[in-house]
Amino acid sequence: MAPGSGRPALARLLPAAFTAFVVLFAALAGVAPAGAAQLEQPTGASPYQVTLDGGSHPRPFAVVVSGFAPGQQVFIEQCDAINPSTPTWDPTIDCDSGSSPAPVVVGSDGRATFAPDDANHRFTPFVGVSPQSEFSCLAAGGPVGNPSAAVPSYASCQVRVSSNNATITSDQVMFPIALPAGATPPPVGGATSTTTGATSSTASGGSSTSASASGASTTLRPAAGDRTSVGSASGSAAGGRGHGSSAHSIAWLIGAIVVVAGAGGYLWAWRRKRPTTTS
Amino acid sequence: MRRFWKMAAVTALAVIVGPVMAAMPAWADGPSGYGFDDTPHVIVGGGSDTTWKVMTALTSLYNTSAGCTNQLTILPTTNTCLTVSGTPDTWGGAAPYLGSWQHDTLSQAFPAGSSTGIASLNGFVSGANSPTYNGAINPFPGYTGLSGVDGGTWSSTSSGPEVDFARSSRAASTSGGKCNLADSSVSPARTSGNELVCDTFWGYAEDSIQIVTFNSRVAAIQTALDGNNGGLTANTLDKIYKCQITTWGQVYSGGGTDPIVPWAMNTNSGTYNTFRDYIRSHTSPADPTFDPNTSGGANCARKTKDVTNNVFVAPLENDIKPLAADPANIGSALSSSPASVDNPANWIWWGSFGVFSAFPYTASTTVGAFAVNGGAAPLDSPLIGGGSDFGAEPSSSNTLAATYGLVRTLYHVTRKPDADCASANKSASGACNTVVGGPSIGGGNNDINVAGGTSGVSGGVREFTRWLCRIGTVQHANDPFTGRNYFQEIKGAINGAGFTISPASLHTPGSFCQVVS
Repeated sequence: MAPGSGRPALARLLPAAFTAFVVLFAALAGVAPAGAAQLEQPTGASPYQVTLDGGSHPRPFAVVVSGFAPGQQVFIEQCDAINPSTPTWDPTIDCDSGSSPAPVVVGSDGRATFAPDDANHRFTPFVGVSPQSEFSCLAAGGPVGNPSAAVPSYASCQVRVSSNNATITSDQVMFPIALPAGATPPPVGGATSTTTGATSSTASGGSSTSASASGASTTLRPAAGDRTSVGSASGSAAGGRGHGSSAHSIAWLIGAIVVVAGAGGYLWAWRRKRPTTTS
Repeated sequence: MRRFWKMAAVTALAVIVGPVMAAMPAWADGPSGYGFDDTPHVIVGGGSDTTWKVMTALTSLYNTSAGCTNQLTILPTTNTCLTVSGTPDTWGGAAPYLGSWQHDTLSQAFPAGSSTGIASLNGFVSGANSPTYNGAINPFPGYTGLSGVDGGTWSSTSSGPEVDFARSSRAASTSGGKCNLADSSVSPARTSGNELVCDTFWGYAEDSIQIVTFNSRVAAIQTALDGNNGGLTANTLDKIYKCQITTWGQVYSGGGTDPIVPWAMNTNSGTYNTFRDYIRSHTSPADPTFDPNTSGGANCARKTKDVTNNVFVAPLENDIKPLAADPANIGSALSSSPASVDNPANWIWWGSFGVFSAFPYTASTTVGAFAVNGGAAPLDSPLIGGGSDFGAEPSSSNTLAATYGLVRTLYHVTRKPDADCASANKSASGACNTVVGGPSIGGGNNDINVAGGTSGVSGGVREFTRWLCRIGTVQHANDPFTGRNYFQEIKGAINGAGFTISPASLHTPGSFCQVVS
């Protein structure tokens, strides 16, 4: 890979050093910054397969995100399938805070935990039209529930955990969910955090990837009316589970740009030098 | 022969142009059935602190909506609507009459409290005091000879500028309110103190009142009183603010002998009024004279020291910084001692869940190295299916579903002559039954029916109100800057300020708002 012979030593050294630098930078950028929020639960296959209760309503499931400041309030809400890196993405429009239970106060370990048996903080995904009629999240296999032609529908939706439902935050973590076939919305008023019987919710992220979700993960497709590229965006909108931090994505992007620029610079230096040695 | 051809040409032109002109939408020269007069006006709202940010966002959306094609030439008529018949009024896309047609400028004056805003709106005179809302620009209108909406004469001794609409985070007061216009021609008289005689309240969003505790108390009281442990009851809060309960150990097991320090709040605040009225009506037995600032005596509810004037004042809501600064202002310091009244863990207050959530800076501060963080204490809340012994923390979902114990509606308030439910849509008692039946907007659809001003600032208020309360994407145009439908953007603005939309169960039929008239 060495450029043509006869190049001055410094000229040979500089591109190599620069390349080494950018590779190192990219590697560092690819690692989540210290303190960046990271999804710990649910684990397993992506998208997370929501399970249903006996009434065919989506069950709450455990969500744990680490990396927040102790004492901070952290929120959880359900969003459409739009990739949050899309320039027009806005959590006040692409997410529905009406799905948001009470915020949790982060403990000394930096974890925000939304436990399914915690009636005030558990997150219960919705199917059909969102609580404030912002968009619809469809169950697998088509429009089950109460999808509305008046709002955009998505075959896969996302869950967002962040320090603020009202604005884009650098600590937001998103992961996709799939709603199984046959899922129906809860009775009116039921999708709230103040119902009793909280202890009946036992779903856990890790063990539910195949339960009651046959066909859900592989047959999902954008429904009619989906926004452009929604289908492909949904699965990778957050860069996959555990890679959903915007800061993380930006770091990767910067790293990639620097690598490309470095490689280009190296080639440019090599090409510039070559004529002098061959002529 | 030439004459014949001239006649034929003119006739042909008339045959062609006539139907075309007839087919032109009426709004080519200004939409009919609306309150626009083709001239932009500056319209100022004022009042609530809680709703300042959200109304600023909403009026910003409205200000930049599509409207008429305006006069660009440097003339005395610059920026008025061009009214040449057939002029395509398409700035910003289709249906510009669904936005701010005449490009009014709506602004939001600095908050002075919901009650102050409503008082200004109504030219409310209290004793020798007549209001002036500095920052507003239009004088009290002094309507005369009105008919249909709310006939009669409005008169007030107000001589300064007053707000043209009010922001309110509380419901209308039907007695003792800020409505006492000197006018004997209307029944019931506007001296009744019933604000619904003067005004119409347009509920457009929902918020919860959060009972605020601080620092280590947040987790401790959530652990103790969340869920089926019942939460704070109205009776407990009543006693705390009367200093009949004075230690945290009297509130929950494990609270010990740490003193409770209840904080007061400015009485013109809608958040103050909402909390006060909740305690009054939810204690058992009812406590109709409860006042969180005074019921416990002069030394119960803590006030902040105004160092400049050397007086103690009840702080405005929704910002904990004045509380955190107070120990230093009285010559003390924030403390972590369990027995100290300057230990934030011993404090209790209340405020807007929406504001504290969307703007966490308002609920968190540091003084030196001492951090002060506010968080929600669980409140005794209704159970689905009846009863109430559930300790609920406020959330957007239980605000929307009204399953939190202290949910409130946020209102846009207008003088009845400016914007009101149409008489034809009211019941005999004056309640607004529906808002359907407004002007045709094409495609077989109708706009919502908002009665009121036909020109000037009054008409401008009417049309902003209509825009705010339209329901569905069909009645709204698209934002010319984002391409999004305003129905979506209005909801986004409401969510962006930490609130939720009004649930459909509260909507006046045909409207996005709960119209209280």
